[in-house]
Amino acid sequence: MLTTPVLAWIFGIQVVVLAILLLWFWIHGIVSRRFEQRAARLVREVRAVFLDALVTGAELAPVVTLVRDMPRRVQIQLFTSLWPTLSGSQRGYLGELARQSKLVDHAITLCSHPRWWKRLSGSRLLTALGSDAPIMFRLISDAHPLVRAQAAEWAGDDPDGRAIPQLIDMLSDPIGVVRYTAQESLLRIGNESVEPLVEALESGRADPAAALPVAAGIASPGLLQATLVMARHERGEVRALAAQTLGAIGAEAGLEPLTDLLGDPEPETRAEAARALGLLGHWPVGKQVSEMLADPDYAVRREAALALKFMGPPGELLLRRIAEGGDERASAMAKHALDTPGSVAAGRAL
Amino acid sequence: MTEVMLDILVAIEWSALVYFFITNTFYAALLISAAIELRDYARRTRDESSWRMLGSKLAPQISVIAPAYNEETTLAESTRSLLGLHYPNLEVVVVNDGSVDDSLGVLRREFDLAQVHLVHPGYIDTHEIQGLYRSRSHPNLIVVDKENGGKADALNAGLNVATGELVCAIDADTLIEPDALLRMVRPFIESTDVIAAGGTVRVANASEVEDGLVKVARVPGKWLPGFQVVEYLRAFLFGRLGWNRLGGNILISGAFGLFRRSVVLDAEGYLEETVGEDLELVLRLRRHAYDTDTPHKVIFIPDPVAWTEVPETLRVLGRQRDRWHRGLTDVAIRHRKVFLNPKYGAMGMVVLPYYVIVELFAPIAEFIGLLVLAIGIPLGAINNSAAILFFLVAYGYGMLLSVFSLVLEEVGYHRYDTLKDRLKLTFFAVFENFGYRQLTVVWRLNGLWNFFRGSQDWGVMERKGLTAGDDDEASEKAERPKTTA
Repeated sequence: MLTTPVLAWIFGIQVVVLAILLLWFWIHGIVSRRFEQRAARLVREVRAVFLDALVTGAELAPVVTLVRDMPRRVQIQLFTSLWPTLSGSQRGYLGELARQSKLVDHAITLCSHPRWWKRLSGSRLLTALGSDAPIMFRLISDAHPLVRAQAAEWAGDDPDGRAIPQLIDMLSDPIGVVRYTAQESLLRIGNESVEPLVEALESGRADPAAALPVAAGIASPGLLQATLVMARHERGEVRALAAQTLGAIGAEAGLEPLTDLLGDPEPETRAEAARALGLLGHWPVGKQVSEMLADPDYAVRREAALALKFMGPPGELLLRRIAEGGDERASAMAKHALDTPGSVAAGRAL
Repeated sequence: MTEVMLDILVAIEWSALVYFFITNTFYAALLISAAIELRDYARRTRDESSWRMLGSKLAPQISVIAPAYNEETTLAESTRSLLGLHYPNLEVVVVNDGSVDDSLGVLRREFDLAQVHLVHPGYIDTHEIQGLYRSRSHPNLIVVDKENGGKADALNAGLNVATGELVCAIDADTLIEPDALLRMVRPFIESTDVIAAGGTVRVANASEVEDGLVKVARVPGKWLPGFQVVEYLRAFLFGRLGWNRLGGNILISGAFGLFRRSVVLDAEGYLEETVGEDLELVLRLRRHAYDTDTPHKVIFIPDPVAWTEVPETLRVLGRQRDRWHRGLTDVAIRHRKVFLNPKYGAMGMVVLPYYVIVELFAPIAEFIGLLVLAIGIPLGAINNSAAILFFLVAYGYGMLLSVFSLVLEEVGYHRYDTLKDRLKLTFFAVFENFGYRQLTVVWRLNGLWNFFRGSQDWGVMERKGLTAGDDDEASEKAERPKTTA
């Protein structure tokens, strides 16, 4: 049994801890409030001076002095809030301000820190500042996935796409966020990525399940041949993505393989192929697509019906016939597609 | 006779101490885990920019499912605020759960709805769906009109028509932070093993609300909602966050949760026969995943993602707590095979035992403890000073946890900025232990009693409506036979 002195001791400790926690709560609250108010005022002032300098093309020196007097966190707040709102030469101007304010040097130092969160912080700052510091190339192969992902995001801003080979390697990274960021970056780089992407798909260096969404997003005709090969891939998931990509590319050479994919054993692939042909408005396959309204899979029936709707008058005619036909399930889906407002269909196309 | 009674009282006292030790060990572990988790989360998200994600072509589609029952006065605004959420690939599914007011009419007019021929895959059985509508003005809005069947049934109907890879289940009156989905989707992108994610739900009463968004967070001046502000902070920032490192969460608030749709469909959606459908679903999803050796990560993120209006009267609050406890009891019994079963890993050996021993039995233990003190002191079975000290230590620990949650909020988010709000928070954190906490014991005991009587009642939530921080707005009632508030 706990004795009274033991309970008294526990209670005493509780009181002390409670007092410390309350003090922490209050002091942190008061200090944070003051800091935030000061930071907001400083950011407001410097923003105004900077934007004025931007418009008039004035010397950066007075702004640099103001920025240097700011606490580091407020500097970061200022730059990260300004960066997304600017573009082109204005970003260059902001980058120069960051460099002269020694913020870039600070970020580069952070990027070499042994602690991953410091490196992450540094790489986020360099990304936000649009810096081309070579250390970011090294971080693409960092041990921590978040740092790698951040470096991948940074690489997507490089207009020369110098890190494309590394980004393509990242498509096979075991960590989802790294793959996702690499995909996004390759998409942002755009056409520069096409050739390396084709090479990676053909050589099997990149996982097609991660590479094809990028190909669909870029939708360059240069990707057609590699995608056609993927349309015969052994994995259903890859064939479905290939169908999506062929639809996005929209080349005539993709129509026949897409038509073949309408009879794929995987429902996901059949649905994607129907959708792609619908988006392309390829009405000659209308009859074949209309037969898919009797497909056992719901998603296939839905995509086939909407594909017919996309095909315009010939497709709608087929839908009306099915709606009046004897197959209850196909008829219901056809009526559903006919009722669906055009704006919804347009939204899907986007 | 007296000697036997004294022996019983001493034995109970011993049991109370053992119980006290077990619960406090759980709390201490959660406390440390929550602090580490919050620090780690801050490191991962500091200076993170979400503006790129906004323009992403690859973001997974999210279908937000909002069940609505008799919400004609607020439904247009809440739907508009859902459509305005910052996310690049969003579908909104509003389920009119047999409203007897003009909820559907409001939606038809405001969003230019066109009725489309009813067709859905029928993955999950629900009450009859009477109509399906698509908006001409908002292509990503779907409205389902169905017979009243309760919240779980409405969510299941929404799951049937939703097309997103991820589904977000919300209460129609939940106010969602504009960037909530951008934050919540991160765990799903980071790992394909994540099947569900939840975030912090906070109390919106007295906060300044504009266009369906909480502009300035305020602590209510009234006692009941004030105590609940502290309770919510404790439950989310310390309770659920702590579980991320200790075996994973089994509870995602019904007010806001994000799920992988295929996993929920595989598990056949929400269970209608329980009043704890949110807890039951997550537990079933994880149990199914353990059984089939598939991924079962449930992540909790500490960011405030949603705001909800809490009850302001004892009657309504009592019914809500009664229902929550009935739900917990029901789920614990339904999934009793998971309890202390090593097959279910940490969920079976740690998480569910916590919910049973600490959450479910807490009101019984606390009630017995208070009763023994009341009987034992006059009988001389318990030393007076030891009894008083034990009482102080027990409630002092509760106070400590509440204040620790305030520190986590302050250090991590600093959403309550004014001196007045901090004073109120301090007051509510200290004084909830004197009177309010004992009331919750009574309500939860009532819940247990009602469960064993077989009650399935959802109760009725009285809403005042959330407007610009006004505590004295006219009362508005929304009665919902089976659907939660």
